[in-house]
Amino acid sequence: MSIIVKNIHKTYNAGKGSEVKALNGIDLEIRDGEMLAIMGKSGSGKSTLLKILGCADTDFDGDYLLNGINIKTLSPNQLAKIRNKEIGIVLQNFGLIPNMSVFDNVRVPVCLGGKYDKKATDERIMELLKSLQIEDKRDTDISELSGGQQQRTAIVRALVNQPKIILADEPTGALDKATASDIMDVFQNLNQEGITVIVVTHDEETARKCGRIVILEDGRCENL
Amino acid sequence: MRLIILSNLKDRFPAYVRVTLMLTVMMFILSSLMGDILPLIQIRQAYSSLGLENAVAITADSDIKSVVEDLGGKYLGVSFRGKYTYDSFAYLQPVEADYFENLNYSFKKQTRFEVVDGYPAVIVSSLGSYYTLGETYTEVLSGKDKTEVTFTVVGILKSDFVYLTPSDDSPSSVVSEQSNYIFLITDEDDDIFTKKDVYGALATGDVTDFCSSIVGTGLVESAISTAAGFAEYCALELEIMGMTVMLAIISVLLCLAGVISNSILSRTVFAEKYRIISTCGANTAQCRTTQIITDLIPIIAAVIIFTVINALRNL
Repeated sequence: MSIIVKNIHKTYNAGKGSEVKALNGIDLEIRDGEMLAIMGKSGSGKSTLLKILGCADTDFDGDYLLNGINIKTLSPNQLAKIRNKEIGIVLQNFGLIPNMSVFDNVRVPVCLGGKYDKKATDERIMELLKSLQIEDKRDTDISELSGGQQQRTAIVRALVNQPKIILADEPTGALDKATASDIMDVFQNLNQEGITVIVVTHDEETARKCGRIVILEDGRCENL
Repeated sequence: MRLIILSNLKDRFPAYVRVTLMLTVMMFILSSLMGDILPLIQIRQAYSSLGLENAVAITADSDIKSVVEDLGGKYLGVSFRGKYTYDSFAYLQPVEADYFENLNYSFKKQTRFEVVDGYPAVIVSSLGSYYTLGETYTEVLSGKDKTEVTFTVVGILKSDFVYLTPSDDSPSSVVSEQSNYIFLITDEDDDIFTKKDVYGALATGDVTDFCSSIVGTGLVESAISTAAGFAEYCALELEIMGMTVMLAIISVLLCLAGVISNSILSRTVFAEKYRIISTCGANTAQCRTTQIITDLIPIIAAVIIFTVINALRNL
């Protein structure tokens, strides 16, 4: 699934005193199966770009072509479907639902996608949990997990609907070095399986594990 | 969606329990209030359907039988209201032989209002039967214990006997300060009063004098037209219920405020959760539906609790 971003501008509070230009003419092309790191300082527009790439925000100037389709032409329901089926998003600080077990958290995207084969889904979830070595935490409440385990749960949830793209927002930001390295290994493995992985990070070490690095500065991006 | 709803309930369980309890209490208050108001509505309908608005009511302290005998006319209707204690019985005996016979009657809350043979009738659950055409009764009205029992009954005695609007908490001083009977005499057939007389009496505004002139001086303590009596009764009832109504309104408002604020607070608390599920592919409709169902659950729970408790009480 290719991603082409053309001249994207995004301004918050346009026309007001508190106006902020988050993205100022971004051009980016991400090939199918690529592993890309988007780097930048705080406030450089990384998360804003990720939101746009994740089809969670269509209120911007410019074009975003996902597999050749301009997402601005899609309805909110179609965008939701893309977020559900085509893109797996790993949120900053894990973005897991509290008071829910690991298994239920992972099941959320499947349930949102409509009718599903429970047996097959359960098997797939167990497989994923196993591949990320948290199968023994299946019924554990997420509040009882370590940071690394929570991040692995978030990755499993992003993968459960077998997406073609994984977007990860600061996936190692809340983890220690060793765990961060493990998590990046997971992303590398996923990328080797053919999934496009886009990692937003401000950490150079994390970025170096990606095939390509793009730097965001003052709302503009340049390849490193 | 079920997952998210369960998670929502789990997250704010104490708040939802509070809302459920508040709503249940509100339903009981409203139910109790409606129990007070409905008889008033029913009596209004009964007066209207039986044409009692134009009858004259005579209040007498003496024995009902002798008064009716004094009247020398057909005893078409009877109604009474008053205060009774355990030791004080009021016997209602019809003029025309044994219309009533040894039927011990006590007022129960569980009464229903229905139409029997075209007339409004009260079915007393403890008796489990209708007062129907041709049956004979002796009606004994008394307190169930030493506590005072006050009530109002408006009845019509034609060829059948029909009670209208019994209530165990009616005021005792609508017509006079003491236990009393009110005779309703209409202008049907060979009655003493004609409609014209009644209208005349009401027009002069001195119903007591009018009734005394017929029944006999000293026998009538006070008289009032049934319409005026009813209006007074309703006014007094509503006055008594005023505080209840106020409390009910306040509790309803408090409960509504509770439900609304809980709903608003839930939306704020769950905002992050909806952001998360939105990135997982939930559309706006799914988020809204989830929240609406979550908000509805305490309401449904309250209805179920209210229904179950009521059913258990009625067993």
